[in-house]
Amino acid sequence: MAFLEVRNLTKHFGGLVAVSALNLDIFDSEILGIIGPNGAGKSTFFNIVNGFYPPTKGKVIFRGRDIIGLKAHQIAQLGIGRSFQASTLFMNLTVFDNVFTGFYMSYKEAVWMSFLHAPYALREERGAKRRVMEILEFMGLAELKDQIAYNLPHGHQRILGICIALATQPKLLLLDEPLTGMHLEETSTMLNLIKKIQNSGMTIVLVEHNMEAVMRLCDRIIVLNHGKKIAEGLPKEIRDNKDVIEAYLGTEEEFEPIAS
Amino acid sequence: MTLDLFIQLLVNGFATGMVYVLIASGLILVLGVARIFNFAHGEFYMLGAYTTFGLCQVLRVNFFISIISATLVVALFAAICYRLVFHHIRGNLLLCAAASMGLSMMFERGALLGFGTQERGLPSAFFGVVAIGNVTMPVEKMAVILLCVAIMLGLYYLLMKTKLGKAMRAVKLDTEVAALQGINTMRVYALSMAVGCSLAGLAGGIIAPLFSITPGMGHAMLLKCFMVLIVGGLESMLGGVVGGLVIGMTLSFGYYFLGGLSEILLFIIIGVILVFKPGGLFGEMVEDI
Amino acid sequence: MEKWLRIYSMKLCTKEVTLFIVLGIIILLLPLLMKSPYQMHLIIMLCINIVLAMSFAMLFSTGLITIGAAAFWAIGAYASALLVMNLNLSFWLALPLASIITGVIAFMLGSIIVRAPGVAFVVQTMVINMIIVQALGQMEFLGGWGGILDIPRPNPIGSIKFVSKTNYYYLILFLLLLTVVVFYALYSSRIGRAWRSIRLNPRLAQTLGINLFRYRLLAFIVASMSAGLVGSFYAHYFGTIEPNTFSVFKSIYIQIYGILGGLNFYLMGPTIGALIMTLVPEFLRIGKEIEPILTGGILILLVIFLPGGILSLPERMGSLAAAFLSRIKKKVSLH
Repeated sequence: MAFLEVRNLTKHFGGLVAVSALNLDIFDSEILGIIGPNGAGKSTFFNIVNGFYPPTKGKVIFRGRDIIGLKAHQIAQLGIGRSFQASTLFMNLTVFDNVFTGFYMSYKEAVWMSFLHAPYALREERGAKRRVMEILEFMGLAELKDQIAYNLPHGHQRILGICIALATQPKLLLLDEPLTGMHLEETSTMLNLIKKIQNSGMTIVLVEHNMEAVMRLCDRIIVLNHGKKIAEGLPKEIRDNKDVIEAYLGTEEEFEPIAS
Repeated sequence: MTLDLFIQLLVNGFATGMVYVLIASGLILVLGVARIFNFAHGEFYMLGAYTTFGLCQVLRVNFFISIISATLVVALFAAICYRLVFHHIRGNLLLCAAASMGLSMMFERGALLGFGTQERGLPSAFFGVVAIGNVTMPVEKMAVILLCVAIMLGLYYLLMKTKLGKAMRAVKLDTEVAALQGINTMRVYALSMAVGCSLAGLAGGIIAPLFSITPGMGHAMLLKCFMVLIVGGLESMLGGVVGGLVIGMTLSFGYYFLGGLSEILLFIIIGVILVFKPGGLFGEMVEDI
Repeated sequence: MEKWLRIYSMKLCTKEVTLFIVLGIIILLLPLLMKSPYQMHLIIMLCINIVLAMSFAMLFSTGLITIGAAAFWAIGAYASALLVMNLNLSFWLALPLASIITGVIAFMLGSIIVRAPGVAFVVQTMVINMIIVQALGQMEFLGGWGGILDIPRPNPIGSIKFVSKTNYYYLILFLLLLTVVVFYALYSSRIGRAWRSIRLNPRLAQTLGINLFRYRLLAFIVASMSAGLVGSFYAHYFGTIEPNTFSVFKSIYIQIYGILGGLNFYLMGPTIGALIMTLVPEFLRIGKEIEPILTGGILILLVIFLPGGILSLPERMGSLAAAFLSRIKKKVSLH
C-alpha cells in the first residue's frame, strides 16, 4: 500500500477545472516532484491534500485512511506537514518562537501545570526547546534564533517555513515551491537541506518550477498540465518525454542552471 | 389590509427607507474607497440638519438654498476632518473606529453647547396633500422620496460616468494599482469622505422639517445605519439601497402591526439574514481581517 | 511583546520586587487615600472597565474584534439581579452562577458566529449587542427601559457588610486579580500560544494542528464569562441596571480601552487604556461642559501619534533615541 494514494481527484472552481481525474501514488521515504506549467493545478493539489478545501470528486488515502472531508488541523494531526509558497510565517515572532509554536501538537501539559511551574511542565518545556534547537541546527538557522522573522532575508524565511513544518513531526512533508525567488547559492543550500531531510527518514512531495533542481533532487517526477497528469517516471524519462517538452513549449519556463 | 392602507405604509416605508439609503450610501462609500469606518457619520447627519436649521430659520434663507449650502459646509468640514485626522490612520480600521469615536464625542458635545438641548424644528417647505388613487399623502413625503431618488441617481452618475467616480472605483478595487495609474489617491480619499459625509448632511437637511433636531440624533441614526450595512453588506451601493429599503419597509409595516416591537422584528430579520449570509445580502465574506 | 508577563517567570531582581511591593501596598491602602465616595466610585468603575477591556483583548489575541462586549456584561448583571431578587439566592452564589450563565450563552452564540471571522464577526457581535439591549428594554418583566431598581447589596460575610464603598472596592479588586491570574495562566500556556498563532497567521496555525474554531470559541467564552462576572458585581454595587448602560457605544468604549493601551499587551494594555479613559475625563472636569470635547480630542491625538498604544511609547522613544544617537555619532566620528 502506498504512503499516499490519490484516486480520481478532481477540483472545479466554478467553471474552472483546476485538477482533473488525478491518480498518483507516493511511496515511503521518496522525494516526489510535481512539476508543470503555471496554472497546472499543483498548488491546488496541495491545498486539497492539506485540507484547506475539499475536492469536487475523488479520494486521498493517507496510510490507509481516507482524509477527504477532514479539516486542515485534523490532517496536520495525522502527520501531513506543509510549507507554503509565500513566506508564511509568524512574522512578529523570533525564529526560535516560530519553530517553538510548531511543537504545539506534542505539548501535553495542562494550563495550570504550566502556570504553577510544575516540574513536569518545566521538563516538557525544556524538552521542546531542545528539539527546537535541534531543528534549527539541522537546517542551519541556529545562529539566527533570536532574529525577528520579518527581518530575515527571503531565503532564510523559506528555510524557516520548512523548520516550522518539521516541528510538527510530520510523516509526509509537502513543500510548495521552496526554491522560488532564491539565487544560486540559496538554491544549492536548500537542495542539500531537503536531501538531508529525506535521509532522516521523511517522505517528501515537492512542487517546483526549477526544472534542473527537480531533476537533480527527486526520485520520481509527475508532470501536470491543465490539471491532468501527462507524465510520470524517473527524472531521465521525464527529461526526454515529448509530451512534457510540448507542454512547456511556448511558456516562459526557464531551465535555470544551478550551482553543482 | 386595504389597498389604501397598504399604499400609505408602502410610501412611508419608502420615504424612511430612502433616507436610510442616502446616509448608508455615504458610509459605504467612505468605507469602500477610503477604508475608514466612520463612527462619527451620524454626527455629519446631525450637522447637516442643524446647519440647514440655522440657515433657514435663523438667517431666513430659502429652504432649498439652505440644504445645498449645508451640504457644502458638511462636505468641506468632512474634508478637513479627513486631512487632520483620518489621513494619518487611514487603512487601519480599528484606529479609525477609535478616532471617529473621539470626533463623535466632540461633535455631539459641540452641538449641545452650540444649540442647546431643546429640540428644534423647521416648518415644511412643502404644503398640502396629493392624492394617489384614494389615498392622500402629504406632499412632503413624496418630495422626500423624489429628492432622495434624485440624489441617488446623481450619485450613480457620479460614480459611473465622471472621472472622479471612476477614480474612486479604481481606488476601491486596488489602491496601489490606482496610484500607479496616476490617480492622486490622497485627493480621492479626501473627496470620497467629503461626498460620503455630505450625503449624510444632505439627508439631515431633507428630514429637518420632518423630525425634531437634537444633538443626539446622530447616534440613533448611526445604529439604524449599521443595520442597513448588516442587511445589505458593507461593500456595495446596491446593498445599501436594498438594506435601507428593507429596514424602512420593516419599520413602516412593523410599526403599524406591532407598535414598539417593530424593532424586535427588525432584529429577527437581521438575525436570520446573518445566519445565512454573514456578510450581508450583497456582501462577500472576508476570510480574516 | 508580552515582556511584562515574563516578569513572573524570571528571577526577579530586587528593584522590581520593591516596585511591585510598593504598588501593591498603595493599591491595597487606596481607600485611605481617597477623599470622597465619588473618587472611590471612580476607582471601582475603573476596575470594572479594566476587566471589560481585558475581555476585549482576549478576543483580540485570537484575531477577533468584538464590539459586543457590553452585551455579556449586561447578561451577567441581569442574570445576577434576577437570581438574587427572584430566586432569593445569596449574592455569593449568584456571582459565579451569573458568570456561568454568561458563559453558556456565549457558548451558544459563539458557536454560530465564531465560524465566520473577520468583518462578518465584528458586525455580528454588534448585532448581538443591539438585540440584547433592545430585548432587555422591551421586556417589561425585566424592567423595560427603566431597568431593574433596588438590587440588594451583597450579603454580609461575617462582620463584613457592604455599605460603604471600601468593601466593594476590595471585592472588585479581588475579582480583578482573579481575572488577571486566570488570564495570565491561559496566555502563558499552550492555549495562549495557540491564540497568538491564530492571530498572526491562521493558515499556518492550521497546519500546526490547531483547531481555529475551538480556540476562538474558547477565547470568546472565557472573555464573556469575565464580563459576566463583573456584570454581577456591577448590578449589586450600583443598585440599578438599565439597558442603555450596555449599549453598543459602551462596547466601542471598551474597544478603545484596549486600543489606547496597546493591543500587543494583553493585560497591561487594557489596564492603561481603561485608566486613561476613565480618569482623564475626571481631570478634565474643570472645563465641565467641554469635557467630552477635550477627551475626544485627546483620544484622537493618542490614536494618531501612538497607534500602537501607550505601551508602544518605550519602543518609539527607543527608536527616536537611537536615530538621534546615530546622528551624533556620525558627527563625532568625522573628526
